[in-house]
Amino acid sequence: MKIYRVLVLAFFVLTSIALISCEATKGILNKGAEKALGPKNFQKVQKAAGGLEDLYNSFQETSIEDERSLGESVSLQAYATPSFGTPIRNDEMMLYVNCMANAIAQNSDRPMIPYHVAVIKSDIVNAFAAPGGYIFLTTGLILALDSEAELAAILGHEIAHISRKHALISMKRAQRLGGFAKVTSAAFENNFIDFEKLVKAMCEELINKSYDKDMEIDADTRGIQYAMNTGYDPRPFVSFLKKIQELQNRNAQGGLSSHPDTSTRIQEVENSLKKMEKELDDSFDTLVKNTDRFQTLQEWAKSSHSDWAR
Amino acid sequence: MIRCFLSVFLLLIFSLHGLLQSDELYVSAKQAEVRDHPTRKAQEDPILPRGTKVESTKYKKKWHQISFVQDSENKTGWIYSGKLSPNLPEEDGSLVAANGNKLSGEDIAAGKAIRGVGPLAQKFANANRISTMHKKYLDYHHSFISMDKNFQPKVTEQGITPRRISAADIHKFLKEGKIGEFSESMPKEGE
Repeated sequence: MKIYRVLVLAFFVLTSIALISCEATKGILNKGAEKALGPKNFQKVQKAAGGLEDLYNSFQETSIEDERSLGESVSLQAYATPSFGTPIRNDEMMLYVNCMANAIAQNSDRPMIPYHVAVIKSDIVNAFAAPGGYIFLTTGLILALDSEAELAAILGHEIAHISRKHALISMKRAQRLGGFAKVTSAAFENNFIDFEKLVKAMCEELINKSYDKDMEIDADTRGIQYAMNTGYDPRPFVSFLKKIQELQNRNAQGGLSSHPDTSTRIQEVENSLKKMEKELDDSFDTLVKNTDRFQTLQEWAKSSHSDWAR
Repeated sequence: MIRCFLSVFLLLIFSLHGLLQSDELYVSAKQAEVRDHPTRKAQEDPILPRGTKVESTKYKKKWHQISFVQDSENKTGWIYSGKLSPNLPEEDGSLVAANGNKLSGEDIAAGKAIRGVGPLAQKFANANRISTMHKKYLDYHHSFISMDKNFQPKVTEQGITPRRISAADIHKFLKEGKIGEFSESMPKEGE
């Protein structure tokens, strides 16, 4: 009888140890491969997001064509906005930022669509994204950066806004999608008056207002992961957020107010970085921080003018 | 009774051992090149599409040594870790049309770049008196298209010529910057 008890006890003890070690080992086995949606980060982002995932899933019927129709209209409205700035017509510069954005996007949550980046002549330090793959960077932003890795994280952040459909989520929260049976081009056509209002509200939010803090943190944490997956050191993004904070404190740049609660964002990014380096199982120092060509990009941003006569 | 306990126990231990040994990963990037060895000079063939399951047998300096099945053949190689995930990547729902047909984001982008803005945006532009110059800005904005397939560039109504960004362009960009799989801090031969 005694031997049975010992065996039963040993069975449960050994089974428990094996199961615990299996859980513990899972993280070690997956080190280096944990991605933007790795279980731990994903849970963290989900917790911070508080329902973002459900809202994201509610746009499953919206095709890339529908998103692009919306993105095109929002971009046209942005370009027609006085003081927005004009895009710089420099093919070499466009090749640089578009190669970079699409290289990063290939390691994102939504790698199967093309992304289009334009550089806008404007002293305001800002970057924003419209649905369907449209990204805008200002020359003020490019000149405020110290490294290509900073730009990589910013592009990652904007790609995350697009891949996670934050513009649509924001409009849903603001109850601006109620007039459409579905979020599709056909529904936009059927209720064109509301579509115009939607485009203008979305454009206003992209340029002058902010996304909710949960979406900014979602884009921050995913953006640095996309940059790191590509091979860029994600730490310079903290330097960028600190620059924003400093400028906000000086209240020198109106455009920067579009990213509220920067202290919380810095804290969240720093927490993510600790986990990412552990999962990478290698030092961030082995990743790329800067390149020689980045200086050329800044020179283009400084000297290029919008040559639209040709 | 003792035999029964021992059998169950041994079965459980072997199952757990199997779980601990297996490290299944999926290609989470758009695609991943499998290399003979993680060096810049290595052969970049074959290419595995997003969602392909691989088995990681070793991890070293951001590279996974992997095994996978292709054309019913067991193959091995190395993949940069940034392109792999422990989770099966979800399908992009925006690339499935209402009738269930698959859409190509690249083809749609190329079509827009060649034909100019779509009818809905055109209607919005007309209703809001958006100028030809602003349409030209947008044509230029989406004239650089990252796509695998080649396409015949055609000058748009606004006078903009689309420019394809190929996989080779992106490789060149990463290689020049020594980024990711083109980094110099990679495991050396025999390491």
